[in-house]
Amino acid sequence: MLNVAGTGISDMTTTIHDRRDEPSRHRFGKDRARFLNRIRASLKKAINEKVASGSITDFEKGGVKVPIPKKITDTPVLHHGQGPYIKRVFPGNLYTTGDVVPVPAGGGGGKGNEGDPDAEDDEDDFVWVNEDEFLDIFFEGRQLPDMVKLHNEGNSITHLQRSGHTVKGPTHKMDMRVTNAKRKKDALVLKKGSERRLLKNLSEQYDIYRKYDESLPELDLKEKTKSERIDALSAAVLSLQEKYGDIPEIEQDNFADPILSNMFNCVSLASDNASDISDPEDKKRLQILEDRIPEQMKTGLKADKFQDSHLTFHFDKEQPKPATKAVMFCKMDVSASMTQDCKNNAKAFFWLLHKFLRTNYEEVDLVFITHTTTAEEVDEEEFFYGKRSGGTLVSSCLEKEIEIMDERYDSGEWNIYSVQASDGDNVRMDNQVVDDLMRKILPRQQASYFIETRDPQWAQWQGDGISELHELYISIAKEFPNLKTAFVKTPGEAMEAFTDFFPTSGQSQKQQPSMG
Amino acid sequence: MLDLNHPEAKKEYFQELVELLDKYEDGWNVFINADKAKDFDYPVTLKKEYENDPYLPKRWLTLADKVISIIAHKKYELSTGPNRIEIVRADQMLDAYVRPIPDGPAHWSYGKQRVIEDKKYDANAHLAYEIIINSNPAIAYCMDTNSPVMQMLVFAHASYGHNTVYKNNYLFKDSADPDNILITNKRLREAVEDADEKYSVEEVEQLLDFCNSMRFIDTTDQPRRKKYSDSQLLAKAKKAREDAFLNPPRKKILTDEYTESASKKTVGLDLSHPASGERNILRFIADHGHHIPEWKREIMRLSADISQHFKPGMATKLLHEGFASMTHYQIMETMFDIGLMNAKMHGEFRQSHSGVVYQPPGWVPVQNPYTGEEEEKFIGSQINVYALGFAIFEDVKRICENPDEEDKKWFPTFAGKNNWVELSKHIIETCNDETLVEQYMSPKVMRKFKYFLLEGDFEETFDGENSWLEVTAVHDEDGFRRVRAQLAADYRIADKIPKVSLRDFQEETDRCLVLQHDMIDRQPLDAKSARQVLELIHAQTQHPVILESVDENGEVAARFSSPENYGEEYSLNRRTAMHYTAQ
Repeated sequence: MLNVAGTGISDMTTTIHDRRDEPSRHRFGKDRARFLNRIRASLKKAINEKVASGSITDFEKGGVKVPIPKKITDTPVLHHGQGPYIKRVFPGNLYTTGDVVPVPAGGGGGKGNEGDPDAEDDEDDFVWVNEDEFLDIFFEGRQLPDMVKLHNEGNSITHLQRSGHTVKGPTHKMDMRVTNAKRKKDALVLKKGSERRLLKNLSEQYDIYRKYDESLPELDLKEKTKSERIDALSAAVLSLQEKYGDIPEIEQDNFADPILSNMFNCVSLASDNASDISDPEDKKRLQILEDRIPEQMKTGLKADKFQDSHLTFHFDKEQPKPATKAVMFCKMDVSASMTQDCKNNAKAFFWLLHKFLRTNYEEVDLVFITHTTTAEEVDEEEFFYGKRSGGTLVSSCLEKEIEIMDERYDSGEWNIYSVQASDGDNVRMDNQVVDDLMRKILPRQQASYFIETRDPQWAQWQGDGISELHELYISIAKEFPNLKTAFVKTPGEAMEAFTDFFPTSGQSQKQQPSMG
Repeated sequence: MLDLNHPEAKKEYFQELVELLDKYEDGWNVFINADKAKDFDYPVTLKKEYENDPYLPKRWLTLADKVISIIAHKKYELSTGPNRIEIVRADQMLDAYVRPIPDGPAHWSYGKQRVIEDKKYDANAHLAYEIIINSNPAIAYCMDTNSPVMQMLVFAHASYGHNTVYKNNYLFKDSADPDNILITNKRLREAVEDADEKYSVEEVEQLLDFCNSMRFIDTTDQPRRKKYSDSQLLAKAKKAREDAFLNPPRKKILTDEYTESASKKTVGLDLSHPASGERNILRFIADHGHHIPEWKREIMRLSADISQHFKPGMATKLLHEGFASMTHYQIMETMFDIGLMNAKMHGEFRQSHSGVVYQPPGWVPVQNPYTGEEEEKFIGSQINVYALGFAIFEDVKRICENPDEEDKKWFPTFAGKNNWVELSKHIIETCNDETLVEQYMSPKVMRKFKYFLLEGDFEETFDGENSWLEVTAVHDEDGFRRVRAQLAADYRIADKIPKVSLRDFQEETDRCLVLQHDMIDRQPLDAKSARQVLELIHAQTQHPVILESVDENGEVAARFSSPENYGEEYSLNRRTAMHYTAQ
């Protein structure tokens, strides 16, 4: 027999909730954000070290593994340390009583020696940081030079912005703060019953006054609709106003109901200007009615209903939004001397700058230009992995850049950034042309970066020093501070170049290498 | 197939099942068909005449639960509380992993835990089949990737096995508060969210760090305080107010206490705080830290309440898993027996079941570097609570049904006499892990797992590579008592967590909190974490705190304090009001 104590069927009910289609509730997101916040300082240090050490462009699915000192992530509780004496039951015996069993130190299913406590401090936990979080931390505090070029003309980006209130709108936009404030101000909203009683009282008073002053307009409110009453009353108020001049300030002006407020006006005007009331009966009656008013008002005080006139809604206005647009020119020498290693060095820089621009601008265009003796615009794949044979004419690439800028990217409207990666090869007589072209280009750009990369294997042929082309750029950079140059041999150095170009605020910029 | 000549067919539960399943098109084969379709959303269709009956399950899951509940309640006479089963995805399951109860307050430690669980999950996409939370109704999270057979197993295991223990075990009856736990948790979350807004996130985070670090010392061993009804509480409060008005408490005149005569009087008296001996330190701080802002004290109290709710769980792991495994085993076997499952489903169930109750061997084969021969090397694996618990319950059943001479010797009270169903119910009502092993583990179970006892001093016998421990008892007749006693001791929760209690609270001077740790078997506290915990207490209360480890002879073995070296003069021998006599 069923053995459920007492309560019967309700004790064993089961409900099944299918939560497969439920959206994630992101509670964990909050936890994770707090965790990252807690470890931020050490994360930042670790990330900067990681960046300096080499390539980070390949994020795995889970992100990058970053070491964090255990001290920060510890959750201490009081617990027993391992005493020296062991007495425990284990499964899987192979021995007989009296045998001696070797137990490896540090092992043995949690019974090992915990080691000395100072060593434990050095152990690190690891966290995995995804690309966005990584870059967020890495870019924190870095600023683009001359970043803001806001251009409002010709863009159609608008956004809705709160601006003021309106009396009509959808429920979800109701401003409860203002609405409630209005309702509280209108403390004299009356209940229907007391409204009726008050009206009756006032009409009677009015009728008494009218007995003595025939010139008062007649007021017949019986069996009329609301709007008819309002019309009749406002007509009466108008005629009274003509008769006696302006209405004096009346306290009860904030009646929500126009009938009552008009009626009040009529009565007060009539009483102010009434001639003597001779009949003592009438006088007594009037006194009674007047005395009754405050009480009748009190009963209806603080109606808790919202009146239509209280409702207030937010009003959203469409406003044009300043768009920040940027274009990044990626220029690279793809002649045979640029090996894949050279390109990879440059790639790290291109990648970081692009990500960085993306965090600062809403829209970032990418233009890829490759050149040998001639330049052409290509797609990303072709840019990094394409190979062409031929000599090198840097000027061809710059000409192409000017052409594209003229054609598509007006410097009044676009923030233009340009990165040139090269192994420094150029025909000597071309250098003068490059000089001229660069002087034309630089004033039109926010910033321009030149990266000379070398394949370490080729060092013996190319030498360790910087190339003539690089020297040329350095001399131009003296006149144009928005040109920066770097010499890069490994992806790690490319990262370093990036941190040099964009120092975190407070950290002074490194000196440009000089000619000497 | 439905077999009306089955020996069970006369029983009440069987007839109820026939009556229920007869109303469906699939009839007795509804589970087998769902397994063939490999879908626990398998559409169940009612016969035309029953289509409008609102009390009949309309989904396969509900029907499966109904059938299991009939078997559990009618055949095995379990008494369970109401259940709530949630079918969740992997990410929701991972959410449930990191918190003791869903929808708790946000805290970085959960974020950290989740990062770890995520990584584990990426490496090996395997999660627990279920998680159960002791609330009313008891919430069981079941994975959406479970097959129909697994879903049935999980229902039986969690919603009927665990639930029975929650509802009937004496520890849970005393200490857990399933009716209010979700509300308490919600209040905690709201209090934390409020405080986040009103004060600062950092301040709240420090407070939660502190509350979390008070684990094991935020609960009491005494059963729950007596509950008063609202009217009683009001009357009590009123009386207290009246009393305070009529007989105002005598104001303490500090100057008196510092006079010479007063100090003479106090010498030799034990002036330690009246609450001395309190185990719930967190609650004590919340109740007596009058200088701590009220919102912090409220969060501390709520946090202590939640810990108290989960306390019985620590002492009943073996009992819980053993009984839940026994429940699912019996129910699934019954379903196979009466033809609700076919052999293929039974195979799947047995495979999964044996995986759950598998005890990894205590040694691994290694190659001897000198001889090249394979040898067995001892690694000392943990005892699988599912395996041991299930074995104990299964053996109890065997002893009840066909005992042998040995059983009659060891278990004269119930060998061959009791109904095992009744006895199991008795066990879950009255046992915890320790007593379960002590009273019901048979020599057969010991031999099954080949338990043996290792003893020795780890450091003394260390030879640079290994420590050499002595085997003092093995799984034979002589060793049984000693193995059983030690195994029970291994499950004695009072020995596992440090016994820390309040010794004194210098309420009238520097509000110094003096805690005492009573050592058991010379087990020291972990020094590093003890220091960290004291620092956290100090940071919250803004007053010094001392913790002393006292061994069996009453000698102070270790002493921690924050600030470091605080109150050296306060020692056990001079526990008599040092602050009054210091002058």
